[in-house]
Amino acid sequence: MAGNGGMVPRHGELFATDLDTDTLIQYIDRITMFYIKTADKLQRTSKWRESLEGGLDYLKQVIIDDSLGIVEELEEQMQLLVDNYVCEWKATITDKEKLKRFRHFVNSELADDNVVFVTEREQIRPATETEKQVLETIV
Amino acid sequence: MTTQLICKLNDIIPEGGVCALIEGKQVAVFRTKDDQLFAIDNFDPFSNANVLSRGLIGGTHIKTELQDGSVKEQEVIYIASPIYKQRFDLATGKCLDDDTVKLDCYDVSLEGDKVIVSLKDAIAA
Repeated sequence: MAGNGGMVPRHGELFATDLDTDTLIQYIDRITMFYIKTADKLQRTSKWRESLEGGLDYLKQVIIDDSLGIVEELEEQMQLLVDNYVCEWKATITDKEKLKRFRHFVNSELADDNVVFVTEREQIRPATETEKQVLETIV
Repeated sequence: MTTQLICKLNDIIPEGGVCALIEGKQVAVFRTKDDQLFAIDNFDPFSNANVLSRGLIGGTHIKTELQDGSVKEQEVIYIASPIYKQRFDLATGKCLDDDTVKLDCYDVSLEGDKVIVSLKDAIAA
């Protein structure tokens, strides 16, 4: 955990091994929520981890040994986030009213016939005015 | 003359527009925040695209000099094309940014909650 790429790289550290999946997710939830609650605004996990007095040992005590007595609360807060999550994309494409805003016409399912694509290098691009005229004469 | 019910008032978001297909013609229909309705060609001649229904409604004041030398100031409500932003007077179809360009506009009325558009001869300016 707490690795970072880019301008200021940092190796990720081994927090724990040989965990079953449930425990793994439990630790991820606890660490993530602890980070959310204690990190500074826009602070990356790598910087946050470096700012912890007591370092990795301290973090292990808090998360694995529950030295602050907060892990239950951390898990509840993470569950609240999970329960309230809504995917806006999914919510839109499953909502008939919202889907109407993506139609060209308010009173027809037809598409705009002025939007014409041609293929170039196996990709689509808009047809030029000249190409549109040529295509029209063919049809 | 063709008269057609195109949608319900609430199908048009206030200060927004929709595009209706009426006898093969694309008509942009707009609703202001105080429920005034306007209908104009949907085709933007500057970008050659059917986009005006997606434009931004705005308002401005136009000063015209009258024959007696006095100056008349009129409020104009316009639609700005989303592509290059030329503005078209929603009442007359005249382009405020290029006086050689004028779009057709159409009669639109509200019957209850139903929006009715009539295609007939373009409204004279």
